[in-house]
Amino acid sequence: MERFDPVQSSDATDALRSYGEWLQSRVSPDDALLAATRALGGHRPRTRRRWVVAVAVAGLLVISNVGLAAASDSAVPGDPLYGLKRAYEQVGDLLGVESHASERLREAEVLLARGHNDAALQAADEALEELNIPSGLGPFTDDVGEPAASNSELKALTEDLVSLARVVHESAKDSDSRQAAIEAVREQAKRVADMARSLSQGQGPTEDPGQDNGQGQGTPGSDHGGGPSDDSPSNTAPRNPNSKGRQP
Amino acid sequence: MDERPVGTGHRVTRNVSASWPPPLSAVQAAVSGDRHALHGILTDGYPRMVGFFVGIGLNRHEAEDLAAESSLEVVISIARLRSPQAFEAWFWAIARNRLRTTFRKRRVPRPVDAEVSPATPEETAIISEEHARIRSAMSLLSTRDRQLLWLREVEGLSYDDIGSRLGATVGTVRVACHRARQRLEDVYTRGEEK
Repeated sequence: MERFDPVQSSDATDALRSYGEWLQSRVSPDDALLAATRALGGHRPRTRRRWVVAVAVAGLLVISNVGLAAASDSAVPGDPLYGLKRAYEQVGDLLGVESHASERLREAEVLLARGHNDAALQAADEALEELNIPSGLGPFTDDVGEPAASNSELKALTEDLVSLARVVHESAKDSDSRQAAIEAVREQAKRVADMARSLSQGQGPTEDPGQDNGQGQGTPGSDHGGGPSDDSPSNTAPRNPNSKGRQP
Repeated sequence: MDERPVGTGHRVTRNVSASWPPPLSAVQAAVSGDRHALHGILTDGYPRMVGFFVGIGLNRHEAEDLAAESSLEVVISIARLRSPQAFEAWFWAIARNRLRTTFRKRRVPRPVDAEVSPATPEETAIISEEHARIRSAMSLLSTRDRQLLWLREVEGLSYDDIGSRLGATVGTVRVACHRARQRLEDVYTRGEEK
């Protein structure tokens, strides 16, 4: 094999070497330094893997969040996903969602249908708070006793309250009908508060034998027509939302 | 730097940079995670990579891109370098693999065989007549011949190193280098006669 030993250095190989040295000298030290720094800082494949992992995790989070958000959307107080729903609402607040009144009202309706008057009252109270209507329900919604929780008259009153609150929610701002509905809500909230108070204190409402458990609590916007069902001061209040005769 | 006789299968010392090939201690430090040492190696190795890629026919921009990618590959892979003594052969294997991958992506069979890419205007302005002639002569060789000649004659790799990375015996590499050199001589001389 020695016969192939390339001992001879022709003009061509000398020219090639010279050319090679020239080419290498054409790369400035600054460029070389920059390239080395970039290579050390780049670490592209690992970065790419990190990106893949990050995107995958983000994707899973988005998918799971969307699924959970959808699943929790119909939750009401007492449901396992309700806390998550409220958490998403707080995120919505950060993003500029102005009111959750409609959602609270829907929850109140669902809870009333399930017979959970106490929780429905709380939801209604929160709805009124969202609608900026001082309800006076707060002190009672947290401490509704067993009689109140199962009382059908209180349930009917609360249904009316929710119906009225929905009218307020759906009416145009600064409209006369809205103002009237707000007044009606205040009146109805007072009745509900009085009823809840009396029930929690063990003083059941004076039932009018001629009426069927408060179904006569008709108010504007509600499905219930008729007059008051008991003699309590609150229930003697005018039902007309345009009336100025509110109890103090 | 160790000066060894040419033709014995050992290193041909024609290196531009005094710090190339990098000292064994620097390579060992880089393998063990010393980024400062690796930075020094890359700073010295990058111009050689660029020269290699231009020398075998790529234009300057392609060469810089490939040299940058190869440098990145060095950073990623150096921790797996089992024998720091073989660093230089490993380094050029990365460059050759990167070149092969690039050609494969282009889906054009051995594009640099057709013609060496034109020099940039700046290079054209300052390239000497001799460089232009050797560039032209190289363009008439195969990619394999160009690589062999470059690694052997410009980079001064030993036949052992070239053979180990090409998967060929030392004898085969010697023969291949000898023939490539003859072909270069022929085309170079013919160009000179013209």
